[in-house]
Amino acid sequence: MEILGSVSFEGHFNKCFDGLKETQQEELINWVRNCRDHKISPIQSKKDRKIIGFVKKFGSNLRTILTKEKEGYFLELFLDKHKYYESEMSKLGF
Amino acid sequence: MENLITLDMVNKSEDVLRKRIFTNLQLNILKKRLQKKELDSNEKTYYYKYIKPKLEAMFYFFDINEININGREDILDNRISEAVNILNKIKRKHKNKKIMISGSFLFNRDYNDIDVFIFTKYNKEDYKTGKIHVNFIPENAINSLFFSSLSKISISNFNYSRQNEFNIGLNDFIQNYELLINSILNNEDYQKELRDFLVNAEYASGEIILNTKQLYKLRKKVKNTKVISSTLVTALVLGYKKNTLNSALKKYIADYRKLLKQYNSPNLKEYIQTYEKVMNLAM
Repeated sequence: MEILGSVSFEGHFNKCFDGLKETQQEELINWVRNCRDHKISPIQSKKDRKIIGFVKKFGSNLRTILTKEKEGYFLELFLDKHKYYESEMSKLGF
Repeated sequence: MENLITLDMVNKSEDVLRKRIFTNLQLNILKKRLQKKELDSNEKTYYYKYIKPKLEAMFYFFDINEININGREDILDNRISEAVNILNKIKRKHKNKKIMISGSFLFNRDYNDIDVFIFTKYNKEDYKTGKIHVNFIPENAINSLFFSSLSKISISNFNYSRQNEFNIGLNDFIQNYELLINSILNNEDYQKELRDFLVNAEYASGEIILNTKQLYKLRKKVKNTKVISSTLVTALVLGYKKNTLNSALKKYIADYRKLLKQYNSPNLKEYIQTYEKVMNLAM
């Protein structure tokens, strides 16, 4: 994910990414690119007002969250099943 | 346990029950009790000494025990025995677990899934077998507004006291709203966010805990962001103090206005408009 610079991968990222169909993998990469290019709607953390996030659902079970400092770098790219997504979302204040 | 039986069920099987299991007198007393008519002291003795023990023996024989039914007036008659069978099957697989069946299967002729909830200390993967969707929920969720709503029309293998008072944090409620709007605008599935939002909104505005049937009907009606935003405005104005709203929403509006300069996103515009309406109407 060179698109984002030095982002950390969270959740069971590799396992879930490998489990995606090739078209879904491309969809995720394009989505990340669109986040970088300000084409995706952000949400703001309620715990840390300096942090914004972008969320996307893949099918009924997989969810991804990309977090970014408002005036800075991308921080984390999370990909996992919806249960882990929910606890990650509440941890991040989204 | 006798709440597993309805008058209809007794009427349908009257020929089999009469004389083979109950005497005429016992059957008439059972019917009278199911009609919620008052029993005289003689009938009460018959009921507790002969009828109830027979029913309990029948339930024990069919491995039906510790069944707790809530909102039976909303549950379709034929779904009770089906639900009890499912509960018993799941119970054999997940021994000593608190299990609850809820959702549209209990009150709607047409349904997609049969929702089974297992309350457990450890996080486990949900699974689907046929139409049965097994959801593992943390045990502490029993004290939540979600559980109080879910359990209003439900069949479970455990007893509980349902909590009726909740404190819905303003930030949590707003987060829930923002994610819902975001999912709708992104054309993603938003049913879970909508369910949480409607339950929160009804409770925040009037301390009403929706049951799953009321929630099901509302979810069918609420389909656009304008209705959702208006619902949030009403719930916030009625449910929170002006000072609390103003201090929180002022910050959010300022943040979103700044963000809007970088991201021309429809969700941010919707949030700003909604929060401004709330601040104008806050009492």
